[in-house]
Amino acid sequence: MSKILIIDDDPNGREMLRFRLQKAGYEVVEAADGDDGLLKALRRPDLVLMDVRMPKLDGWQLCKSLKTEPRTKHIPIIMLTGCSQPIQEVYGRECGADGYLTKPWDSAQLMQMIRSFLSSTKDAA
Amino acid sequence: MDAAMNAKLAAFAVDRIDEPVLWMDSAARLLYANAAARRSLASSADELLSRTLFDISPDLTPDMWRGLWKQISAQGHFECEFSLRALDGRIFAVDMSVHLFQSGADERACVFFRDIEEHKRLQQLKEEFVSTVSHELRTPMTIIREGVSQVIEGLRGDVTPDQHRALSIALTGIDRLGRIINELLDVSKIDAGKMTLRRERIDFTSLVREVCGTFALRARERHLEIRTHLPEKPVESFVDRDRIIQVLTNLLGNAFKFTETGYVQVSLAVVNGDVQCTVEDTGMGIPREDLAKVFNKFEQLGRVSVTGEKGTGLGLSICQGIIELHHGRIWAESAQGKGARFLFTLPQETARDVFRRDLTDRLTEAAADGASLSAVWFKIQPIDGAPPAAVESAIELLENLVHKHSGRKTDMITRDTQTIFLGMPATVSKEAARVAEKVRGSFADCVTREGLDHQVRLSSRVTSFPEGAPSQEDFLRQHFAEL
Repeated sequence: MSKILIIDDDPNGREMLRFRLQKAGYEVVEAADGDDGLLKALRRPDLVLMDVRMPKLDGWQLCKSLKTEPRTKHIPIIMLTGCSQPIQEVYGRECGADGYLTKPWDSAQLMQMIRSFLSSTKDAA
Repeated sequence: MDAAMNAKLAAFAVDRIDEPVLWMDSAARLLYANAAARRSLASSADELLSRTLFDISPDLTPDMWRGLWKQISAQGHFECEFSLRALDGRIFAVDMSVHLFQSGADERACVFFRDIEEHKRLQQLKEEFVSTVSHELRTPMTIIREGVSQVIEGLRGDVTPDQHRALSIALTGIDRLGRIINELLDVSKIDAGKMTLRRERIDFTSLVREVCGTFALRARERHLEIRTHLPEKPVESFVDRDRIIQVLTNLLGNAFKFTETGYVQVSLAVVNGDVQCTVEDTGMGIPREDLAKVFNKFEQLGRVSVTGEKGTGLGLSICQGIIELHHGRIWAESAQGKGARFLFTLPQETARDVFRRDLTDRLTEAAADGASLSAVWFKIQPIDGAPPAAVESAIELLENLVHKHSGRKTDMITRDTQTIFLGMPATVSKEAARVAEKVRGSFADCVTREGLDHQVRLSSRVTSFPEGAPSQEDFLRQHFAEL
């Protein structure tokens, strides 16, 4: 069973995501801010979903840290964010995000993206 | 009443109106300033009347004044944006309107101006407000959408048909709200002059085909025909692909909304060097008297769509903003009951044309402000036999590096198939050369790492105004000479 880490400061947002992911058969771990997210990412989830605007460490910084840390840099990261400007997506990609979806996203698209990232990391491994 | 009395009354009135008024002669000497002008320029009448427009303008040069006066004499009247400097040193932007007064050989100019700093500040505030609000609205909206979707999909248990219907309607409303937020953000960006284009070279014929393809399902469902009328050869231009898709999608969406039977047709042609695109339908049309209003914000003209869908009333206003940002034109033709035609034209330009024009505008500003400006081009050349894919990945890489190392909001970056143009306002040559060197250094590292170093070569050139090139013409000639 693949393990997905959700990093989002909004508990309602996390609950919605967790429910859908668990129904789809994934194991879910949650973190409520960037610092907590960084710690939990070290326990090697298979994929990370993160919000961008968060207290303590924001999503941009967190993403950069995870992508430079040897233990976590292979983990696919999908940013889920209200930052809808094209230039923000460019920035997100520069920080190392593998996927970038703006709120409100299409759930079918999100699930498809998760499946494709998970299958490609499995192929690599 | 005698003439002297009339003159006194006129002077009294002019001194009490809120709009600043100045009189000047052909040598730009100030002959009169009303009370509002004296307040705005922080000076007494005596102080002002011994001065010229040069003393209260940070930008004006004798050359500019000669050109200006020529225009005033020839046209009798003109309007422009200008900056002024009050005697206390405050520099502010004004909308200025100048009227020529002639009496025999005597020529003078009557000048009205309005301080627009406050207006600019409010615009800025409005834009920030809209952008914050739209960002903040997205989070709760996402949660609502996800919750409703999960129930509809049956993830949270069985749903009765009635519940399903109610939730489907709710979802439509949520999605409409999402579109409104996006469109509000677009409108506010356009209004604030902050929408920027990400131009690339595209072929319009395939773009039109692609957009029409996304409407195929809708056309079948509604028993409408989509026709295209396209030239056989590609029609290339250098535009923001996503934004032009947004315009076409909007125009086609409207055509479908207001057409019950018949067809929706998209035609493309090159007319006088411009790409002209026409979207026409056989729908209810628009009354002639409403044609001018269709591009206004929130204008829905009381037309009810065939399908009952509701728009936001912002779509066409955004289309207009996007087309005008591309230096194009958009308009509508129609008669009630005879279908509607929406047409837009875009100049058929290359990356170089576009960059040259943007650069020319910035140069004029720099010259007016006495500021410097630098421009750099980076060009990728394939080494014999290098595959096109190598050039493509090299240019992709180069663009990222240019963004990374220049990185100021005012920088202009234009990408062509083998060239990246970088314009840097308020930058002296030393600083520009440093940026170029950093880009070259990182580029060398990256191509070596990716094994591209035997396939592509990078050349570049830095040109600076006014250091290396004292006039605007020199600058443009020098900069593009070796390309």
